[in-house]
Amino acid sequence: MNFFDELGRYLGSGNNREQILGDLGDHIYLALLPLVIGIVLAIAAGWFGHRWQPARSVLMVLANLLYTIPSLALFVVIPGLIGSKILDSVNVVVALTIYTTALLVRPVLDALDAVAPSVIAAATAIGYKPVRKFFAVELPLSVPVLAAGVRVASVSNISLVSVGALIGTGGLGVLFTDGFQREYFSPIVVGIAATLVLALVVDLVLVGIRNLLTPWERAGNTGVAVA
Amino acid sequence: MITDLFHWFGDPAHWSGPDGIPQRLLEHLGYTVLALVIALVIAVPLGLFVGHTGRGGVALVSVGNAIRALPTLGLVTFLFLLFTESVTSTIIGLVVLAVPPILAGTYAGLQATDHGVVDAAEGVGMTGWQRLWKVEVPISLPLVLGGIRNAVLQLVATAAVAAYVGLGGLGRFLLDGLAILDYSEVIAGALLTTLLAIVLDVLFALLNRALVPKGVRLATAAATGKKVTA
Amino acid sequence: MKRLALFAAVAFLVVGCGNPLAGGGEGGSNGDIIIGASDVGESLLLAQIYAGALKNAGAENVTVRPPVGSREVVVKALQDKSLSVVPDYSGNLLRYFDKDTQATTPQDVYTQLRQKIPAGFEVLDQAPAEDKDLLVVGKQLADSGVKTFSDLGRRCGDLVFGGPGQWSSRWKDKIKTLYGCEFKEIRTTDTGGPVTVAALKSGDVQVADLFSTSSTIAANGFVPLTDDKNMFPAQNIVPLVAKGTLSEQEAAALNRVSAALTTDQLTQLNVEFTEEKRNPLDIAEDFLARNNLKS
Repeated sequence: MNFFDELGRYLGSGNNREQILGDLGDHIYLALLPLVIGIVLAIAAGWFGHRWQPARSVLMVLANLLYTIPSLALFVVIPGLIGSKILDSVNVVVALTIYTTALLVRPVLDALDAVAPSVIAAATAIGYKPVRKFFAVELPLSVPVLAAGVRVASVSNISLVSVGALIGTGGLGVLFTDGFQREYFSPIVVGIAATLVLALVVDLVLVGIRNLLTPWERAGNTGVAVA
Repeated sequence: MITDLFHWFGDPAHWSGPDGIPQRLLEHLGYTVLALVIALVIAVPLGLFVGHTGRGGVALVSVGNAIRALPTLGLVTFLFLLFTESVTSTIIGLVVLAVPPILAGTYAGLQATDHGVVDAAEGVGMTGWQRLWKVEVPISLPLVLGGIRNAVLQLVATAAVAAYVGLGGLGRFLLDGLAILDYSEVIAGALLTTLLAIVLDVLFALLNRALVPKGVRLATAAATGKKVTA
Repeated sequence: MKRLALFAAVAFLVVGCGNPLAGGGEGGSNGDIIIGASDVGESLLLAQIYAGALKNAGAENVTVRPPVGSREVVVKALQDKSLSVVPDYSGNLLRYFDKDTQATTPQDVYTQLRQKIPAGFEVLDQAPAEDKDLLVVGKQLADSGVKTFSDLGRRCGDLVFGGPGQWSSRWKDKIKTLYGCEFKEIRTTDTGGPVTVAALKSGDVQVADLFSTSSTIAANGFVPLTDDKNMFPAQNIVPLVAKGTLSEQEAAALNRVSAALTTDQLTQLNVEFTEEKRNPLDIAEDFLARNNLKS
């Protein structure tokens, strides 16, 4: 039986298909929840770092350090740190949130730095308080740079969730361990394909969201110097 | 738990033999370096060629991004079933994952060289080769080194995961310890793997300082965050 | 800014409300039954069979978790009720709770197991089916006169052994005491999985720890050695339960499964799983139907 026959047989079983879809659902949740939380945390951290220089240096060092931690090492250490149950999927969510935040802090800082002083001055001049200035001016202008970082983070998260199978978490990684244990190519190939397709789809959605949030970029060059 | 960890590190049995820290550390470093060298041989010339001639860049970067989306566990298990041997299959997987960041860094580095500078070099009579090695490479070095740095981190992390398909290295402490919930072994493994990653990362930071000409470093620092995009 | 706020709100709603894994981390207390499996493929099969039997007995909210780790992880999970039931092996389970036990026969092992099992756990009836550890060698070594563990004992010093990570701490001393065997090297491969098989096939290791119901032994022409002094105890399949997570009806359903499970049947299940690559749920359904455990 060649590989394609085998693949057909694998996908032909209703129970197999159900499992794949279930694993896909888990995978999406485990990859995207940390993304959303990470974005929020990175924006908050970036806001602090932008305001106070000492906080900024600490943040950069911390972010760099956290991002350097190898994935499996971080996954296994978290139950001990946050006292979660050993099989709990929260371990993967926390670890990926840490990675996402660490990855996004720099783009947030860079983006906030890049907002032209003239624009901020204008906002202050028409009476915006700092909070409103942040949410109405600085943050929206940061979206393009942020979006680039978020796209990288999403691909990374989607790829890393699979490693969670080694600590008993669900997601598409289960297909890899199953295929490996039984010397069965089909689940592994399906798992890899599903991961790639998921990454592509999420990337397209993110680009779409970015474009939605930055209508001025498509309206053409208005002559305002914005990075 | 900290005391248990100290005990684990204090136990001389953990420092000798095929399961000992030095052996595992060397194995891990070995896989990383071997894969890095192979990836450099593949990615740097390719990146230089595409960056210098400007052909096929977009396609290459897209393929690179697609490879980066590959799930590491999926890749190593797939390769193991193909080659039924832990080391061969893992090294291939490591190389595949290391090539995109190095390629992207090299390509981006060459792209970043200001055309004005290159034109000036041509203007003073430098040949294509001279432009490449005396102008483009030094200017692109920060980005290239950055790409290699990313690749190395990816390699250390993936080599740990590859313990699942029987590979040696520091990942063994992680997975074997996890299997019997010997937390000392698990944390020790996590610590050692992280330390290795950090040491290599710092090494690259130092390399950056040493190799990148001061003028380029200053220029890059001045330009960061102030680029105006149309 | 409004768009940003709207998008953020939607994102939070979508991601926060739909947690497909909710309930996957807790169980027991609210009637959920969560069945776990160790990282041996057969364990997952048995878990699915238990799940099917429980559902047929009327239990709702029965889920099977993906396989993970070995007994230590599983026991911890049972303790904090992340798992309710796990299929286990009587001999190794007994040794886990009582390292110095000398019991080897199925009945002795089971009796001692019931005595020694700690509070908070219980074991249900054991099945006649056994899946024991086997020391396995390649055909060449077998042909050269190594047929029993005692034969092996004489040659251990020249041989490399491959097995699960925990094999060393469990059996290294015992095999030395009983058979005078001290391997040249004990290498960690995996728990009777593809790495061990590949290592034995290629000759990287000359002796491997595999399992008696595994289909890979016959499929690869390996030769199992005879345990002439009974180092490995009986390993009957027995459900390990976190106390209080199963009702009497549900326990009875599992006992009916155990009564029907013979070693031959278990071996056949393994062939369907590993060689024929059938889906474990399909295999479980067929097993339950074959043995009239459907209703």
